Amino acid sequence: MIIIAAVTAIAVYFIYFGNSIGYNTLYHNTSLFTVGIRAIYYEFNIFILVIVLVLAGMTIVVITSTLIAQKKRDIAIMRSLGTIPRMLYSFYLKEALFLYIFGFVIGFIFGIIFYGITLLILMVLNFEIVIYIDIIWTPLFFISTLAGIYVVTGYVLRRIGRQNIQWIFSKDIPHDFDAQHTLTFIPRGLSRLGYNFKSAMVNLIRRKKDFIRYIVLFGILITTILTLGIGVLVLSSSSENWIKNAQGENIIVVGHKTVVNNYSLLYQKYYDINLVIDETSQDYTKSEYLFNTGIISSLGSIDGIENIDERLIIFTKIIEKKGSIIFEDGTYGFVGKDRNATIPIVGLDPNDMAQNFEVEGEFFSDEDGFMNITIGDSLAAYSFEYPLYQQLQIGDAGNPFDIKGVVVDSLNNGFSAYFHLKYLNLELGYSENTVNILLIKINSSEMSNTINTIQSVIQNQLGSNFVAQNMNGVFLQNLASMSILNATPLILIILFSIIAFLSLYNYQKGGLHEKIKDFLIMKAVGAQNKSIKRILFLENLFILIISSVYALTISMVLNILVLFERVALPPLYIPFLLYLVYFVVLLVINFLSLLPLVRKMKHFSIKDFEVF
Amino acid sequence: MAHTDEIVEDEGEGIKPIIILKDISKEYEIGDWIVKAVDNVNLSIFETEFIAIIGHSGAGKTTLLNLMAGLDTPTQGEIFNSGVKIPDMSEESLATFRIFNIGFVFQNYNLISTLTAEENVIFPMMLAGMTLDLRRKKAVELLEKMGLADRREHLPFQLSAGEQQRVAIARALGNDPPILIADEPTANLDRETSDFIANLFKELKESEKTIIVATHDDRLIDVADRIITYEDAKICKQDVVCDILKESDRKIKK
Repeated sequence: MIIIAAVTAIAVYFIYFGNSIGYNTLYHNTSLFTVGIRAIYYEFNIFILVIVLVLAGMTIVVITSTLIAQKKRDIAIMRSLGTIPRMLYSFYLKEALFLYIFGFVIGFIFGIIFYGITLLILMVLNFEIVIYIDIIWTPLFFISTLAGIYVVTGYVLRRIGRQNIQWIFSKDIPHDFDAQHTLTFIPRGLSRLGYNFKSAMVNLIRRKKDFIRYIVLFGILITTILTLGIGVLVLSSSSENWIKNAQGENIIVVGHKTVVNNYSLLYQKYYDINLVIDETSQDYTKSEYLFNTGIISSLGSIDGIENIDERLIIFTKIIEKKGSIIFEDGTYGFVGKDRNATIPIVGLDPNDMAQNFEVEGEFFSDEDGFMNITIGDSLAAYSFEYPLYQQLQIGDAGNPFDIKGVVVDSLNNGFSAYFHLKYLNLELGYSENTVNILLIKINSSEMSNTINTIQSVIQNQLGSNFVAQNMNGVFLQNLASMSILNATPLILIILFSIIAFLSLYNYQKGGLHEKIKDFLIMKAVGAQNKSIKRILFLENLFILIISSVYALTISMVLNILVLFERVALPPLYIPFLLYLVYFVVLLVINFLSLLPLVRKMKHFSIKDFEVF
Repeated sequence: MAHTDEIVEDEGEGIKPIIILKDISKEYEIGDWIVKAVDNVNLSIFETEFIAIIGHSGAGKTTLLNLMAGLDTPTQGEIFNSGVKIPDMSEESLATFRIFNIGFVFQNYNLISTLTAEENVIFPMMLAGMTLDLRRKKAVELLEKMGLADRREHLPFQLSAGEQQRVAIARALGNDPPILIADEPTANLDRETSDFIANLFKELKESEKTIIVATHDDRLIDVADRIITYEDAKICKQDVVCDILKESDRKIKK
């Protein structure tokens, strides 16, 4: 019951912690990060919650089923005394259900207490928190686990009830186990590898039911932890990649100092939610800010420059235009609410971009740039219903443009739009080559020299108000700030790992109760303590190898289904490295959990036979 | 020859005491209760002697056997087995000592549940470092002798009580130990099996082993050289049926 209560407490804590701290504050704060990044983390946290609840429920069902399986002997005795299988079924199933209900109530109380303590700590640390009362997940968890126990544990009971009484006494070894036949599958030369190895292998194969239960439990724990671990890794590496690509690397911004400063601030808003940009300074169309692309020929000869991206950035009002859409049910309708916003629109040449965006839909091209526009993800989320089916109008009297793509962007937290430079100039009535900033991509090894040269060229040609600013500092700070997004899943992973290891230890203790008699006999016959320790360790090693390999596969599949389709994969060695680290950690934990049991055996007395 | 609780050390020319219990006591604490299973017992058992220990259930016979085999430690007193002071031995050396010196047949068989009959018999031989072929050959021989040739590949729960007992005896004989200790080897068995086991012990008596049996079975008692009556944690009576020391003297004189 303690384990059931512990698992319930964790599940309840996850539900409350995740909802009141993770989603409501961090992921729903529209001032922080871009909506695309928040959305995928939000989705991932829901995924974590579902996994934790499913696996917590499965763990409880496994515990109650194991409990019944361990009572086989009592069940056999009761049956042999004349108890009818239906009565047994009702009696033991009720016991399992009551055990769960009591465990759940205790676990729920503890989960809420831990949640309250966490809230208090976070309040003291000035975190923004939302008191949350769950009416969906907790009842869902309770009812589905109850149903799971009724079905699975009930099935185990019914099977025991139908079995021949003598078979029940075989415990974890199948009653019809054919050692002679099965041995053909085990190399007979196993003894040559040492009797520890052989004993471990034989114990596992013959104690099939225990072996399967062990593998299921180990698998559940490792799947959960690896799924979370790989998910966090994949998410953090891909979301960082998106932002990194959307910003570019080794970028120098050239322009009037006011425009350059504001451009930098627009990026800084990504991590600094308190940053306010003075709106009066946001008219970048003043003549002193604009310059002609003729300067590019002078800059082009400077060593170390890889690419020059000409841009015209303006702050303007945009209006959401209605669009027509055929819904999934085949009906046809109009979407859009004519919302408006003031955002930066960046004119650029799609063939010369210094940045590479993660796009939903497509980025406009040179050919279709006259009619298409690409917008940032936050703008898409908050100002449009179905952006890819709608149009965006620039200004009150401007032309509407089709939204061709939505990009993950850190500029102004994704409240931005990108349009073809040539057609933006036309829209504004400027000459074709008018710009107010240049993004210059520089070879990293020649950064400082190149900046100085650029600085002197632009000051000579454009005047002293024009500057070249290295954006690396701001961009790196944006990337660093994203680590907070991993905080919730990481805390959950650590918490779940601790509980997982505790449950594992308890389970192992329970499992060894069955095996310990054999080990005591081995000792009585003359086996050394270290041999028994090795046998136990090898048994767990085999179980670990099998369960962790399939757990890795399941967690990869789960991540692929939920996340990978939308994200950039980290290098292939990363999940395997994580797997290896976890494997070693589990191995150490396994070893440590065996120590108290081995110590007990060391001080064994023949009287222990009676106990076991 | 000792007929009561006195210790006899190195009497006779050819035969020596192989097990000596000196002022041995063993107490168990069960909650607030202290149960005395062995109370200041002195006893010498000689090489090749066949001892039958009789007494009521709960008298402490099993504890006495466990102490002799080094499976349990006394609360006080000294135990010498084959010249080695048992309580002074480390766990590891005691384990090794048991492999080569003692064959123990438990009252409730205590076969390793995941090993087949043959593997159970092989297990102590494997610990003793016997070669694979030799131990397999020996296990087959022993199981054939026990009438279990066709049950070699069966797991303990697939064997009857009598079969399990015979496997346990085969296991105890695997390393051909000089001492065989058996705790009620015929208890709870059918007539046919207990006859078989009683005859087996008669045969074993001829093999020059020291045999100590706790039993209520007259057929085993009849074979014994000495019958020790054990009641209330004490040896209350010893009957010498065959004085093994005089027998030995006779053999030497011949």
